[in-house]
Amino acid sequence: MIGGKDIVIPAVGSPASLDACARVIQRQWPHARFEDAETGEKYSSYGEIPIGRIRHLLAYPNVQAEALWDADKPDSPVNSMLYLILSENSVTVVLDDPNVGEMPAILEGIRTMMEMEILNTDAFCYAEAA
Amino acid sequence: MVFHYTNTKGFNSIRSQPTWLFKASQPPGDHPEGAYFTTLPPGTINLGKRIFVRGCRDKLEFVFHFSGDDGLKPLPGGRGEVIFYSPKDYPVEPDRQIVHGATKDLAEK
Repeated sequence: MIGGKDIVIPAVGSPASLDACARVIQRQWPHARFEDAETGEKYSSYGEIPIGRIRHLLAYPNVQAEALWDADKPDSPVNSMLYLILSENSVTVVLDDPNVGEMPAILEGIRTMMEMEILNTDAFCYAEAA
Repeated sequence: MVFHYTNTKGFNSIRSQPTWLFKASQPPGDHPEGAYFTTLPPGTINLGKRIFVRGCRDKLEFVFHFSGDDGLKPLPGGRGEVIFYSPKDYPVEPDRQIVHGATKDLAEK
């Protein structure tokens, strides 16, 4: 049994990567709420997330969506939760449908931020080597 | 250590044979057809959310626990750390079987 679609985006894989993803989500979902997927600790806004201590982050567009998932309701709306996983060289975004609602903008925003991070790291490494 | 969660019907079907046979099927979404497994044990916080299944209480009601992951492939991406699948039916002989039963009972042990 498995659900969702896994979108794997190349990334530096640092805490800053997850921070950037959360900022993109907060921009598209101004009332976003977050949760540490591994501990269940809840964060009512982006600013509360203890970046650096989290690798698995759940994001909801609002408190209603969060409540539906918490109650294990089968009828929670499409794309009412995102599951972000920080890995060594990527960020995985698990979602229902990448083409619905704010999802194209969120994914594009995350891809752009991850590309910028990779380019910045490459530039830093090049400067260090020079 | 590998776990397979299922509902009452799946539980009774799989446990009815000495060799557990986990049937490959087409899951929702764009995941490949297969029999799916996880290393997340009973009692894992947010198990349903991490598997990304709504209304999953009945689908996680029972669990089979066995050793070894021969032939299992990790899911591409971050969930591949804990979710694996077999593209075809996956048999588990008695010597690999550890325990099976209600998920809530195993979570309390």
